[in-house]
Amino acid sequence: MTWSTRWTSRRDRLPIVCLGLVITLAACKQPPAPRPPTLAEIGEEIFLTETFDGNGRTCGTCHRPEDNFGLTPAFIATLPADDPLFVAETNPDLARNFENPRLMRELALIVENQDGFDDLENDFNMRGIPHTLALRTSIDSRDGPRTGWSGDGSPGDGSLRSFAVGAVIQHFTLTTNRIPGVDFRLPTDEELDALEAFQLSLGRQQELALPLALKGTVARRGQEIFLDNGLGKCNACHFNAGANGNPLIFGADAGNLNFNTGVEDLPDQPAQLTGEKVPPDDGFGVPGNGEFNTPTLVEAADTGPFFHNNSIETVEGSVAFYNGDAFTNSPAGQLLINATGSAINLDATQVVAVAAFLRVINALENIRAGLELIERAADSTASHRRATLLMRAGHETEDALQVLAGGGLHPLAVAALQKAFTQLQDALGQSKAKRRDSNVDAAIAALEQARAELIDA
Amino acid sequence: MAYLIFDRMQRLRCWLLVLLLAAPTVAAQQTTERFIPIGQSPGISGQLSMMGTVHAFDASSGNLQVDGRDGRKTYRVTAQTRIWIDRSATRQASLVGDRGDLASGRLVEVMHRRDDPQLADWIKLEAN
Repeated sequence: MTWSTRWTSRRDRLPIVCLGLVITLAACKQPPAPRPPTLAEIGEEIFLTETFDGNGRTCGTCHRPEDNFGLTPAFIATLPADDPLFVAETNPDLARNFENPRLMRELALIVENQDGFDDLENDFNMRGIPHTLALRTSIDSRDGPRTGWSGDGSPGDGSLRSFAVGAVIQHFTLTTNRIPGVDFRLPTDEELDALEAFQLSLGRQQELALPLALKGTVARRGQEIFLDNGLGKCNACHFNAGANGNPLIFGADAGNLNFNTGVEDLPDQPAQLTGEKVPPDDGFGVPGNGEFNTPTLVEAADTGPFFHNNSIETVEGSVAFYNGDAFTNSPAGQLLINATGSAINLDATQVVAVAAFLRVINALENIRAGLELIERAADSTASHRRATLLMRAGHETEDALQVLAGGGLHPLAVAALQKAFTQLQDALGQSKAKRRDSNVDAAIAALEQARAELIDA
Repeated sequence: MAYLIFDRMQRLRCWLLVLLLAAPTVAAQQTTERFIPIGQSPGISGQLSMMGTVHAFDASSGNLQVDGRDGRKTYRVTAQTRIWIDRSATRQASLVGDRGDLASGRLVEVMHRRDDPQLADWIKLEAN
């Protein structure tokens, strides 16, 4: 029997056909090959895990995904004593002139040596940790990128890409000698590219277009005040509640702007009330000119405390700041008076209305982000990745809930958000895909219901 | 009423433009730059700064001549120019230098001011 006749024999062909079927079926059952990670996903891994051979901190030590990529005293209170945030308490080489543990724990303030490292004992600032959301919309200016609280937070070319280099030198070092190759290593070009891509991917990717068709009476009035150039005057510097100057006033390419709004002149600042050493912060440049850059407001309500020194806890207090002497007498306040003929002078109901508007747009952004995270989770093939994204969607939902409830706003939306949060929690606990998908579907429906309570479609 | 609003907007625009024109334009952080070794400044080294060796420094005029790959270039060094000694090769902390450190033959990286390419913003010198 030749090989060819053997192949044609039906009896002999049967096992081969069966084997072929088995192989084909096995191939069909194999999960799809995982796609290579995107640059932003590589950046996320670096952001959350890379210590750069330093004191154990990562970017995510201070910019917590669970805390809107920022850090609040309430979140700090949940951390274990050996969290790398507290290296100044655990590493004797960093016990002096690296952090102030009391101000860190009570007010989430960290040490920044914005004006130099020659006199660590006396020359430092205490600053809050800004969130890293919506950076794509908030750091460009006609004078180049504005990063950090005063717009000059990045070494090298001052770009977001270079930011991590300065952060490693300031915050990751093993000792205050700050010797590259000894106390830390500097990020590579590839790492900087990935970190930039990740940070730009976070949060909102485009500006709002005000006015929005808000349903809430108070929030709708707050939006009117916000947009009124003779009353709230907010939209001049926070165009569309973002971080950029109004192009009708500042020109089309103004982008993010720096102002001295007098925050440093506020009386009874919490950090100063502690009696700890808190040198004045001179803002942009060396020596500083007293200016700080304009933060985005869409993400404000769930990312307090507010201003560079965490001096005001509530969003209502932050709006009221612009009524006070510190702002009115500041260079920016005087400029506004000269330009408009009056200071900002909102009464309590109007302050609350503007704050209600900020709370509602924050909640809308939480809902948008939550739905996007759920969608990304559905597309993810890796179970741990899916869980991480669903968890973050839960955080967004919880934030929306707290932001609205904290202002006594939209109880029906709050109830829907509570339902969405519960469904997401249940989805995370489910081992069976079908039940998990059912929970996720219910969460999506509840989030959409909450959104419908806040704004007309 | 519409006129009044327009007038307000115009006035606001004028005043704020005055403010903007007076604002500084350099946005890079100046302090952590000191700890970045020669040739490793992100977005600067190999793109905007010049690396080379000090040919000569005239303390009276403040002119610094640097020989680099593309020839010789002259920068003005002022009291605002920051000078650092990079000792990372010997695993030591960087030092603040001064004009007296600008000796001929030393490896140097010079970054100019963005608004004046002849004016040295910062200078990093390799340690002796």
